[in-house]
Amino acid sequence: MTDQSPQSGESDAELVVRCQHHDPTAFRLLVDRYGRRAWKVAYNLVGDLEIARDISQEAFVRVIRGMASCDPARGFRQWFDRVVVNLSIDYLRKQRGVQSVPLEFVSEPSTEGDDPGTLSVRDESRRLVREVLGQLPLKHRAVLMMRDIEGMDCEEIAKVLGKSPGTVRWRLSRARQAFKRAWERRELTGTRSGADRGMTG
Amino acid sequence: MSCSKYSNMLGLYAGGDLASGDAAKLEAHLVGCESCRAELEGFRRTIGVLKSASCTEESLPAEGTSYWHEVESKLRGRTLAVERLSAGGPWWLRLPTLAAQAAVVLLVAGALVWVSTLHREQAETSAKSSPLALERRPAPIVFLVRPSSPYRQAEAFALPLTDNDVIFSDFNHVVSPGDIRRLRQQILPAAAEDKEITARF
Repeated sequence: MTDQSPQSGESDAELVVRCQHHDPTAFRLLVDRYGRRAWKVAYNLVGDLEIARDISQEAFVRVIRGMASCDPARGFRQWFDRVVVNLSIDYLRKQRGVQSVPLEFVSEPSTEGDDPGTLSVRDESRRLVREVLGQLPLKHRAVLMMRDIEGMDCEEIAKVLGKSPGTVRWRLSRARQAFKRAWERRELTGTRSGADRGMTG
Repeated sequence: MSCSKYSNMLGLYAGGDLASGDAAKLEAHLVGCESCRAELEGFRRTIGVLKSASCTEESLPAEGTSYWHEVESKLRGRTLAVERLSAGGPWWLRLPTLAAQAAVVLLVAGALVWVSTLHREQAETSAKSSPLALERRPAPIVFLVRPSSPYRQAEAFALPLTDNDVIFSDFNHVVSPGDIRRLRQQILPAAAEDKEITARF
């Protein structure tokens, strides 16, 4: 995403400075600019639309309260992304001990306007991916979500997690192996059960 | 190098996260190793599966200004909570503050009352009595009885004989009226003592 606002023409840095001078209009422009992005990032990490929306809005609340410490020259987007990702990881960490919600009840992005056949395949794929990811330890799940689903690079992930890029790469390598094993095992089980159903049918 | 040494690199290479030096070594190994090529293909497939679960901003539900209004209401809620705590609010929330304030008021009032009472008492005392008005006391009388003296009988006779609680002292001993009576019995002839006592009373 560019540093230039499509709505106002002002850069992020200019808006941040205005926010630091208690200009509510500037904050509104930042929310308009990064709201959906924050929602999408949080959704890619937590996998639930409503929770992701709540997390992204909470991130704006945190950001406005810590706006005085934001250095406009270092980029608002990176700082804001880090807040969103950290909040999402906090949520996942808290959910570790909690009984997970059945995936049928987890809200998915809107499917209006697309071909129903394509959408049902995509939704099913998302559901299965979330299911397999749920079997992995949180540290593996987090790097996979950040790198392969959200598309962050290893340096960004390292900053968010407070680890070195080398550690992140090592963890990513382990996580991809674990996901691959779990996914192939699930495929194998699915094929077997399908074959069993075919034989009995 | 054997395949096991490349297994950790395959996942990173498949996702484009392997450093260029290691990537070149792996590529050289892949040329002659079919099992590693198959493994790499598996990684590429599962990374593709993960990427397919990614959500874009466009696939999120469309909305008007509701997102901003939700952020605004969250912010307002937090601000109000902070203002409520700092500027008043329900009396039960401010109970500790009220108790502390009441304690301070009581302490100050108590100190004022105490100081004013002290001043009044001092003024009354100084008005009633002069600091030079001392109570008169009788000068001490010292009686000396020397048992070896030829005048011992006269000295013993001169000793006061009272039943009140006057205590006589020879500076080394505390002498009570009973002691004096015993001394008299030792030094004076019994008849003389009786006669004197009778004559006195």
